[in-house]
Amino acid sequence: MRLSRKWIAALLALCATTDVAVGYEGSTTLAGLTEQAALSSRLQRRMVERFGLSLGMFEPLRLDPSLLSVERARNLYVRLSALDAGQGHAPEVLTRKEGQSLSPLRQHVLGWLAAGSVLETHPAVRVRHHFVDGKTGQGLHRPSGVTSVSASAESVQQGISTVRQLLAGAAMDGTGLAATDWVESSDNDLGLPAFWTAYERAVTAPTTVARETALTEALLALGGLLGVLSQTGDPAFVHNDLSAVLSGTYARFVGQRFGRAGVPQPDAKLDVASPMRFRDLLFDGKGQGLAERTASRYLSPSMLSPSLIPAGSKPSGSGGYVSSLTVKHWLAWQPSEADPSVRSPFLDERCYTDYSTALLPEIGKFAQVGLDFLLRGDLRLSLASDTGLTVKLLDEQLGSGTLTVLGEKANGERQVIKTQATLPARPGVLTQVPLAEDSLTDYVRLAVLWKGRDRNGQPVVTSSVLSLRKTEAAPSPSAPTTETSE
Amino acid sequence: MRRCLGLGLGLLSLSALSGCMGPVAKAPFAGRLGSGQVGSLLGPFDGQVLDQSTASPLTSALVVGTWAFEEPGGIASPESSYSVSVVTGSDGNYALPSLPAGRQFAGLLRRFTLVVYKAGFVGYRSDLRFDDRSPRHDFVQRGNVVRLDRFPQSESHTKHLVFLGSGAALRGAAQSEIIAASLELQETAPPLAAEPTEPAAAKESH
Repeated sequence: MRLSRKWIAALLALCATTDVAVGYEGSTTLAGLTEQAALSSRLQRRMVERFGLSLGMFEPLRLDPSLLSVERARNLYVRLSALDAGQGHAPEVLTRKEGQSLSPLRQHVLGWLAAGSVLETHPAVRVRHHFVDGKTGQGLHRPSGVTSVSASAESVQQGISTVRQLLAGAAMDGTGLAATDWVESSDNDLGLPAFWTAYERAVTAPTTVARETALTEALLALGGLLGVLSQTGDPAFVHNDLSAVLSGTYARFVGQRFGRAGVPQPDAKLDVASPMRFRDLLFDGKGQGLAERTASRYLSPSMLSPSLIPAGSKPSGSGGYVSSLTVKHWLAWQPSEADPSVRSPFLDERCYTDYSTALLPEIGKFAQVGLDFLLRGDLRLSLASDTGLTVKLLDEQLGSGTLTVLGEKANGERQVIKTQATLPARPGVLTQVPLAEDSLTDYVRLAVLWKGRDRNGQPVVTSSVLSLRKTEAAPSPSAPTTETSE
Repeated sequence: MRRCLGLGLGLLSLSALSGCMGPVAKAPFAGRLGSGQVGSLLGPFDGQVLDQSTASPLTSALVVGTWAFEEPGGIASPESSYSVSVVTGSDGNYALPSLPAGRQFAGLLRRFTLVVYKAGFVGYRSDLRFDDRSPRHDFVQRGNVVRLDRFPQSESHTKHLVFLGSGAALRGAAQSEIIAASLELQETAPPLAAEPTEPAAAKESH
């Protein structure tokens, strides 16, 4: 069985290098979408309330690779070093200290978040997991008639995969996880499991630099998740159109037109309900996911056919356009020179202009809702001599969970003071923790981590801090250091 | 395989370069104003920074040039970047050297971005305009003229910083504006849910 020439070319391009980044450009469009979503979200206040970062989204945070596993540190370092400093999300390289094989990196909160969106496309083979069919919810799949064996064998024949990979079942077979599964996959270092783990460490790690490093990892994962979500606003990713993704015509147009800094703000008028699960923002099976909305209204090159051109359409000049309810230039067409009765459909810059102008604010809105959703469950702490520590829940109905109270010393060291289970609760008092004030004299700050499930049974990790110094502001965990850039 | 690589590279206009130097994409800017000649991403770059309102040269403006590389076999995958920063002299002039030879072994040189920052003024990017975020078409490699407007009181520091990006040199020069942006965000960012006023939350089965 032979693969189609188009399919082979797409397969080859994806596998020929491990660093082909495609879809919306990471450095420009995805980073810009994430930045705009963050600015419209509650991230600023959450960084202040949950982590005591006085500068919020502009607080600099260090990532110390020596605190990560060797493999993780190298992988992250190489990928972060590739980022375009001209777009602003490349972290600053700090001076290495004794015992550090890799230099610490520094970037502010917003920069780490945007960097995560770029890393989600690097290496490019990750993009195979960004597809979700807007009709079926299926991930990247081969056209009918092309089998896994034939695709894998073909990739070996072409030198893309090795015989060893073929025997191990690891040869590239032209498929990928659905984006909805990829965001939940434990194999995804920027997925939900990675985010929850990193968030927890960002509160409970014993040292300041370990917590900062964990928070940067959590932000990178958040950015990665928003990056995958944003890709479902690209028609090619929701129409299983690998060749269009690889040709990059639309993505390149958007990157050049808007850059990173010109990406429009999220559509404030668009009503996107907070989902039950993050994956529902991509595809919920009810037509409300971004992939479904994109697939139902926009075209991708692989699906163009003359039947899309209404009968009786008259050319204006050399051709014409078909409009839709959403955009004026939905489809371009022109009559064949040889046979004017034959009309060829295509997408041109006017189509791309209309598509991107309509899609980017919508994607931004989904990303903003997604960011707010992932950081739901705001807590507020208060301490009184008679009741101890009161933990109030502000915004979310939570299921049962575990509350961990930590004390932070002046040198930034944190230690667990108490852990207790909590019952399901509506906004209001979540729990009270009996704490004698005289037992807190060693601490300058209290931190609380709550880990459990929401009312829908979905995982939630949230936190808050309370300064115990009444006359001065809580010191930032990322106070300026004396380190200098290399 | 050859066809595949050609597919990726064919989308870019590449200049064939000798030695070990990687491919270089076509520059989206002219060599000089009105010359009609396409510039070179490799550089060098020079120009002058002026106060738009007085036309006088601006001293000590930070000028950051960044070369960004991508994987040559791909379409838009970051590979590495290299930045150089200078400050303008009393005549407002800046000069950035060509990309050092030692940095030309990297992948496809995809773009060059110039960012100019001076506290109290609206910053400048060579790829986009600040006012309407539209693509900039007046940047030139040599003899570039950067006219900076005074920063309007009503303008958002947050939007300004996000527009410029957050490179290390810029962060150092824009410390006071970063604080102003943070304060601004604290006032304008969407609030958290209000603290519930009910005395206690009703417990429920789950």
